[in-house]
Amino acid sequence: MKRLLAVVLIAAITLLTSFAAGASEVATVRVWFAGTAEPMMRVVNEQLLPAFHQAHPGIRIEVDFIPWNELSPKLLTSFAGNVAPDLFMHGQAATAGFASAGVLEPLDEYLEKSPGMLEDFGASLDAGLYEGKRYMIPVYGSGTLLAYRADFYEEVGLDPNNPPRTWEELRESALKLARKRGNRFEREGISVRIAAAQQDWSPFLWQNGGELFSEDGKQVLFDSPEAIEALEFYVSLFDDAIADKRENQPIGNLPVLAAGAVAQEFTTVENLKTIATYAPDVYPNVRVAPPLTRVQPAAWYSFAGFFMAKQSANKEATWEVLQFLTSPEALEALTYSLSGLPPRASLAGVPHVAEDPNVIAFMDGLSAARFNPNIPIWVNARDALERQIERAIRGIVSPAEALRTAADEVRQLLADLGN
Amino acid sequence: MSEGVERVRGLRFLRTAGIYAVLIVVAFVMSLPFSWMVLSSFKPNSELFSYPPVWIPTRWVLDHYIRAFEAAPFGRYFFNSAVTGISTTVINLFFTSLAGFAFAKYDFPYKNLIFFALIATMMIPFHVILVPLFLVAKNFPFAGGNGLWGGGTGLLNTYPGLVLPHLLPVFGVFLTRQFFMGLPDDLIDAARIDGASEYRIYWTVALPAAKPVLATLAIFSFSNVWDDFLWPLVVTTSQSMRTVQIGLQVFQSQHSVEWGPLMAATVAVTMPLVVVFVLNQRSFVQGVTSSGIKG
Amino acid sequence: MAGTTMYSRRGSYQRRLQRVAFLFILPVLLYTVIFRFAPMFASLYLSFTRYNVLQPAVWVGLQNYIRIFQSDLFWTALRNTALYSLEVLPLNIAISFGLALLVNQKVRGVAFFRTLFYLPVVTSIVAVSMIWMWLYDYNLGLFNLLLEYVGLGPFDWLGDPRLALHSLVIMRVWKGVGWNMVIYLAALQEIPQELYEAASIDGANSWQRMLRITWPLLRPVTFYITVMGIISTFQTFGEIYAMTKGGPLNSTTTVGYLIYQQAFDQFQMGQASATSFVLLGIILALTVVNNRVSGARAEA
Repeated sequence: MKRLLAVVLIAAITLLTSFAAGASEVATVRVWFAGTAEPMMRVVNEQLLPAFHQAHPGIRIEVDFIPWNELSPKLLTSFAGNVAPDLFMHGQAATAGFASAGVLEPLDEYLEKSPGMLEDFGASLDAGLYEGKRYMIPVYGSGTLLAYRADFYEEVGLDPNNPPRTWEELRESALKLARKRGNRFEREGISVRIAAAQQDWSPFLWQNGGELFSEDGKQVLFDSPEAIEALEFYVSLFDDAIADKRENQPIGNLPVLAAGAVAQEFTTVENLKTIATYAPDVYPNVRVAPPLTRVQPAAWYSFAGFFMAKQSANKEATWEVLQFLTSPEALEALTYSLSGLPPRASLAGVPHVAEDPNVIAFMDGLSAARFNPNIPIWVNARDALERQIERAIRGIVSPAEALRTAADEVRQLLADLGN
Repeated sequence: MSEGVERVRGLRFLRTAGIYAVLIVVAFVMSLPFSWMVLSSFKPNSELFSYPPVWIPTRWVLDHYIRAFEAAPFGRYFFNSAVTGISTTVINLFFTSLAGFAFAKYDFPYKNLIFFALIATMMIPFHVILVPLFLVAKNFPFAGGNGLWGGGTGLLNTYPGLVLPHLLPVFGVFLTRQFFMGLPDDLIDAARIDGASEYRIYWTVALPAAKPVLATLAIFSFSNVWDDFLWPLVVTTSQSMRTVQIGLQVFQSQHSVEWGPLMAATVAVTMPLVVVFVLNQRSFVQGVTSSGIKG
Repeated sequence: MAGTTMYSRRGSYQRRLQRVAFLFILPVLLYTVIFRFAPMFASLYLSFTRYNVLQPAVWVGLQNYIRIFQSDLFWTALRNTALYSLEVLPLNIAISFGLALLVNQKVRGVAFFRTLFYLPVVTSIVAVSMIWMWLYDYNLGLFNLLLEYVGLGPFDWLGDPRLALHSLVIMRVWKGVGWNMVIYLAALQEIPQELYEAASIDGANSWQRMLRITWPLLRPVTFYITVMGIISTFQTFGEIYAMTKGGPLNSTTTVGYLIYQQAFDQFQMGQASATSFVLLGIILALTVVNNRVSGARAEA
C-alpha cells in the first residue's frame, strides 16, 4: 500500500514538473556539435551562445560536443531512446542514411523564407540534397587538391608556379620528381592512396566525364569505360619509376610530404595546417595546385553541417537557432576555429582564408567541386569500391575486372533493397 | 670449506646479476612508448615529429601542460572518473568475490550452467548491445522521473548511469572463482566446526587469503572504468558529467590531432592508474612473506 | 569437489548451504539478467530483422545469417581473427608467465620493475598506436633501421598483406603481457612455500620445481587466462580501428571490426547482431573445448 502511494506520488510530481516546464516562456533547443576540438568549443561557448541568448531571451540553447568517431553510436542511441537533439552537426555523408529513415526535417521551406541564404550558400547546399530535398545547412567544407613541394620542383627543373593541369602533365612531373636509391625510393614522385582510395580516385573519374551513380542513385555507373580508364591511369601512378605500392603512413598526422618522402600528394586544408604547425620550416615550400582536368576539371569536396531532427518539438525556435549558427558572423568564427572552408560566398574574403594562398587555392577549387553521392547504400558502395581498387593497384585483378566486381556487388545490394 | 662458500656466494652473485640484466632489458622494451609519451609532452612542436627523431627535448617546455589544463575542465573530469572508478571497484570487489567464492566452494543446482551463462555474456561485442543497454538505462524503473515503464530519462546523465550498466562483474566472478578453487577445503571446514556462519567464513577466512587476487581485481576494475570511453559518452548528456577519456578528445579534431597537449594530458590522465597499480601491488609482497594460505 | 561432501548425509544442512550459496550469487545474477541478458536477448531478436535503429525492425527470418555464410569478407575476417588469436594466446601466456616468475624474485627494486612491466597496459592506445606505427614505418622506423644493420629487410610491417596481422600480434602481446603477469603474480603468492621447501629437500632443482609444482598449481589461473584470452582476442577491435582499418587487402579485418562497421558505418544493426551471435557461438564452442581439454588434463 505504502509503495503504491509512493509510485502515485512520484508519477504526480513528474507530471506536474513536466507541465511546469511546458508552461514556461523559454523554449529549449538542444544542439550537438560534431567534434570536440577546443578552439571550436571555445567559440561556441564564449562567443556564439552568449550572443544568441542576449538577442533571443525566449530561447535557450543547450549544447553538447560529440567526438567525430563516436557520432554514429551517440546519434543512434539517442534516436532509439527518443532523446535526440533538435539540431545536430554531421558530415554530408550522413544525409542519405538519416533522411531515408525519415528522421530529418527537410529545410527547403525554411530556406525560401529566409532572404539571402539560398544565394549565399549556393551549391554547398547541394551537399545535403537527398531525393530533391535539402537537409543540411553547411558549416564548413574540406576538399582534396594536389599539394606539392616547390623546393623539389626547382631542384628537378620544374616551374613551381606552373603545376600540372592534366593527367599527362601530372605523370610527367611525377616521373621527374621521383628519386631512387637502389630499389628503394628516397622520394616518390606522387603518393596516392592504396586503401581508402575512393576519395583520391573519384576526381579522376569525374575529370574523365564519368559518374559513380546515376542522378537518382538507382544505377551503378562506376564500371563505365571512363571509369576504367580513370582507374588504369590511377594504377599507372604506381609505376616503378614513380612510387612503390606501399601506403605512406603519416607520422602522427603529419603528411609524408613534410618529411620529404614524397614530392606531391592529394591533401586537405587540415593537413596543410598540420604541416604549418609541426614543420613550420617546410610549410613555405608547400603549394597547392588547382583541380586537374581532362574532359572537365573536378575535385573532391565535402561539407559538414547542421541537420534538424523531425521529432524536434519546437521547430520555429530550432530554425531560429540554426539561422544564427550559420549566419556569416558565426560561420566566420567557426570555420576559423576549425581551419575549414567557409560555405558562404560572402565569406571568401575573411582573413583566415585570404591570408594563405594555399587556402585561397582550396576556395578557388570549389568551382570544380564534386561530392560523394547521397544514397543510403553509399558506405557499402564505397567499401566495395575501395576493396577492389586496392586489388587492382596490387595487380591481383585488372582495373576493368576490379570495377566490374565492385559494381556487381553493389547492384546485388540495390536489388536486395528494392524488394 | 671456505672455497665452497666462496663459490656459492659467487654463483648467487652471478644469478642476481643475471636477473638484473634481464630485468633491465625487458624494462627498457616495455617502458619505451611510455617514456616517449612523457618526453614528447615536454617537447616543442617542431621536435615532435622531426626526423631523425629527437628523443631528449633540446628545450624542455611546459606549454603543453598549461595548454592542456586550460583547454578542458579536467578537474571536473577527474572527479567524475574517480567517483565512477572507486564506486565500481568497491562494488565489484565485494559482490564478485562473494559470487566467486560461492561458485568455487559450494554445490548448488545448475551451478555450472549458471556459471557458463554468466561467462557467455562476455562473448558478445559491446557494440551490438550498446543500443539495447542504452534503452535499459533510459527506461530503468523509478529513476530520473521514470515510472515503472519509463517516461523520464532514467539513469541517463547520472552517476549510477555511469557505473551500473558497466560493472562487468562476470570478469571478477570468474577471476575470484579460479583463485578460491585453490583455497584448501580444510580451512573452511575448520571454521564451520568452530561454528562460524557461511558469511563469516567468506569474510574472515576466504577474503584475507585472497588479498593478491583482490588487489588484481581492484587494479582491473579501476583501470577498466578509467579507460572507458564509449559508454560514458553515450550515457551522459552534459559536459559536467564527462570523464577523463572524453576530456582527451579535446585535442583531436576530425582530421588532425594536437599532439603536444594530447601527450601532456594523456600523461596526467595515466598517472592515477600507475598509482593504483603501485599501491595495490604491495599486497603481492605481503602474500609471499605471510605465505598466503597455510593449512 | 567442494567442501560440502562431508555433510552430504545431512540433507537439510545441505539445503541450507545451497540457499546461502544462492544468496551469494544473487546480486551478480540479478545484475547480469538486467544489464546483460536483457540487452542480449534484444540483440538476438534483432538478428532476425532488418534494423537500422532509426526505423522499426522488420522481421527477415534467417536472411542475416544466410548473408554471413555467403559473404567472403566474413570468412576472411574469421580466418584473420582465428590466426590472430592463435598467435597472441600462446605468446602471451608464455611471456607473461616468464615475467611473473622474474618479478617474483626477491631482489631489491623488484617492485619498480613490476611497475615498468605494467606500463604498456596503462599507456593510452592512441600513444601506443602512434609510437608503434612509427616503429613499424617503412622508411623512418626503428625496426627497419635495426634490421638494416644486420643486412635484413626492409619490411613493410603494416602495409604488406602478409605481415600486417603478425605486426599487430606483436603489439598486442607487448601491450597485454603486463596484465597477465599481474594475474600470474597474484596466483604465485597463493602457493604455500612449504611445498617448495619439501621439494627442495627431495632434491628437485628449480626447473623441476617450476615444472612439477608451480605450473600445475597455476592451472586454474592458466585456464582463466586462456578463456579470457579467447574471448578478448576474438572480439579485437580497438587497435584495428586505430591502426589499419582492416587493411591492407582486408588482411587485418577481424570479426569485431566487421561488426562495428556493420553497426555504426552501415547502420545494419540486424546484420551486426547476427554476426555477433555467430561469433558468440564460435567463442562458446572454443571455450567448451578448452574446458574439456584442460579438465581432462587436470584429471590425468
